[in-house]
Amino acid sequence: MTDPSVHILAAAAVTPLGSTVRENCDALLDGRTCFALPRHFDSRGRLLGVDPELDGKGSSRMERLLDKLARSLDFTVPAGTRLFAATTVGAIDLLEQGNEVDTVQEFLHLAERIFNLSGGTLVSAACASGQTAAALAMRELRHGLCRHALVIGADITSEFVTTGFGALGALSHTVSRPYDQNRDGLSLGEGAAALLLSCEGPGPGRLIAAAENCDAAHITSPDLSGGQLAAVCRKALDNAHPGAVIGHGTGTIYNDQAEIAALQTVFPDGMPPLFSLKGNLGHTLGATGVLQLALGLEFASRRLLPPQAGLVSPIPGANVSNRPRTLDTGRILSLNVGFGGLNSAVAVEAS
Amino acid sequence: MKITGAALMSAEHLFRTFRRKGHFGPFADLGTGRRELTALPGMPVCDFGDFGRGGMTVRKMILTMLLAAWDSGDTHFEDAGVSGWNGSGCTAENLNYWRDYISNGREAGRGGLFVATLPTIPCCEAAIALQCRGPVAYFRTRPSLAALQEILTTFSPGRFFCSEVTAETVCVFLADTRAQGCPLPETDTLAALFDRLEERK
Repeated sequence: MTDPSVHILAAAAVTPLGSTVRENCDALLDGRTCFALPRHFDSRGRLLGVDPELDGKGSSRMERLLDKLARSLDFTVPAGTRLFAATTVGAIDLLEQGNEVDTVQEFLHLAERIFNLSGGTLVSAACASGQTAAALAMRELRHGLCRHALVIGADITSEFVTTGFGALGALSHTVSRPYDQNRDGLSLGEGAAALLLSCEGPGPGRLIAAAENCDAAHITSPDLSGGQLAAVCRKALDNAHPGAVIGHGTGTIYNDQAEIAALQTVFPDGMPPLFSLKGNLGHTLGATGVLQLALGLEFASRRLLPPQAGLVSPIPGANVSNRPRTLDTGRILSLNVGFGGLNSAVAVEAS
Repeated sequence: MKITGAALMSAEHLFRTFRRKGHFGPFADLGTGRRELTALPGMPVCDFGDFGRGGMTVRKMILTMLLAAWDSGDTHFEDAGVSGWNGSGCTAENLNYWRDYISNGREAGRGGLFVATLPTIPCCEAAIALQCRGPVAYFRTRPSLAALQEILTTFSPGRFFCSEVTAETVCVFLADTRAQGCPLPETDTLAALFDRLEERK
């Protein structure tokens, strides 16, 4: 028996490059980037994918981001929709302001209030949070536990997270260059995205399958063989060939090496075109998985993949390009990787 | 869903297991606890190479999950997932990192303290120790075991360690979401579920 289809009825995305999925896709296809010095804290010269529209006083930056996402929705969320909210550290700016609060709990409360949905589920799986939330929503829909699901992913730029990644030596000295031989680290970014899912379709696309696992190898480094990541890719693909892969592609030495190793294992006869958002937007942490699915579906609909921003000398074997490319199918495989060795793969298809 | 093993660490650092009715501790410190617990007959092989890397929360989580694994009688957990649910999240770890950074004149954060600020880190450290390669995630829902069961039975079929970490206690259940077990009483925490199941026995 095949699993019932889970339809993507609508999608939204807010980043420094745009306030709709269409605007973001247009910007990415044009190769635009958004790296700048933040005004809300001293990043010590680090460039971030920062959204100046979120600057302000009085409320939380996370609240302003979620408000912006809610305002951007061009669809109605049906009554009774179940909320799945993904983040890494949540409303961390509240803690920076001296509030000793549970920042992920605050994030969930904000999301419930702003989207007017009670009884939400918070999903945190490091930088795989977004796709993990989408996968859980898909399975709850298939089990008939809800009729509609709203999956949101959001994270903000902050002094807390920037200094933390800095301490780990993970930040680029310039900007992130995913899948480039001379990449030197990641750039942080901020953004949010939403997917409205339902078993009742049709919509512009479908969630086909998802899989997650853990390397169980190291707390901050991926397994460089990519073995466990390859396993989730195979499971999510179920022998189908994707038109493209939206990789996690942070631009760190180890992440990109592990991803390429995994994809070479899964596609021994040549990997599909590969692209990472993070050369344009930076690493949006808990938002990135939902952003990848929302924007990946739009790429699949247009049968176009953006040029890889920051790419000069591709990693040998990586099917990346600094020019836009056409896709031969409307199916996309999207990957997330997180601290703790977390791996996630989700397949989506345009209708 | 069937519970196949469980362990609870109390505020007094006393460890109890559910099926084997084990009582252990209190230990002089968690390092001593590690040595004494791993000497138990039938204890699964556990990689303690990085035991000292994590903070107290991580060490308590590893020891409690190890005991839940031992309680199940199984020795290998490669297919098992690990989840965190509710509890106190990582508020203490967030404050620890931030206060340390501020007290150092905002010059540099400490990577080890930063990594601990993710709610999944105790689960991931325990997954590494027991070589669990299933899915790992942290979930926050309304305080209801029914809500947790919905997640566990849909998220990933198979064996799942489910943990709840608070400032005082750590509770870990090993559940097989594909197996049929007795209906579980509705409780608002895993620690309360442990107590209820213990009373039932």
